[in-house]
Amino acid sequence: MNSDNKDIALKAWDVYQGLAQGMGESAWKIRSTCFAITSGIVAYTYNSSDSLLYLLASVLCVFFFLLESGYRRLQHQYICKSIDIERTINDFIANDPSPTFPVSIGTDVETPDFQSLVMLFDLKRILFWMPYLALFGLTILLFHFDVLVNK
Amino acid sequence: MISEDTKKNIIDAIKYADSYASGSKRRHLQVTFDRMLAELSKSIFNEEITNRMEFRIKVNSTQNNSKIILSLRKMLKKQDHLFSKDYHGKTGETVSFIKNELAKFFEVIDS
Repeated sequence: MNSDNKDIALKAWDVYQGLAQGMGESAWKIRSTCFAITSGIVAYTYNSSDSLLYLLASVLCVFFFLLESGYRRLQHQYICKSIDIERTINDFIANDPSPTFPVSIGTDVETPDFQSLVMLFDLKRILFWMPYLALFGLTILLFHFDVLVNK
Repeated sequence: MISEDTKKNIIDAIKYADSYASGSKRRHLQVTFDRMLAELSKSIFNEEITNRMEFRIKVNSTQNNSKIILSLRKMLKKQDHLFSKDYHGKTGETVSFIKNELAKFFEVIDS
């Protein structure tokens, strides 16, 4: 591995890290927007005369969940690309005579598919899906039991 | 070169690679693998190792190009598949490492 190759690998790693970080920050913004809007709708509905609006909050939960999951899946792809580069860097550190290189370096990613969405429901990622599930379940229960302040 | 106890554990992992790809058995294999590297370092370089990378650097830098060293280089190159964090739950790479690089290294040692 010559010095130029090493510099390219480090630069690519830096770019992937930046993209993964950006995706993570966007995901958190989506999450906080979801909780703020949903809480507002729940508070408004509780003081209104029709519990149907609780369902709007449920639908928004699903929408924001899908949106955040898209960002998380894109972030995952950049993390995987980063790991590939880390292997190259490790080979360089280890004085490997023939370092491993990724097939290619690029910022293009696959469109998030259904299978990767299902993988997000892994128990290890409970902190990702549990808040959405709790909020979704809560709004459904509030609608089901017709919970209103003037009832 | 490698103690009988270590060898026995690694051979068991090669035989049942799928069950050693995650959980406590994976952690057990990681410890055994580290022990094996420590024994190899003592045997080849007559030195203790402090970590896997240091050992890998020594193996890559040595002028000795025996079959064992060449096979060891290949195995150490892929060792991160065994030690990568399993947050993503990808066990395929670990299984592949056990069945290929680790198994081939043991074939060379036994030959």
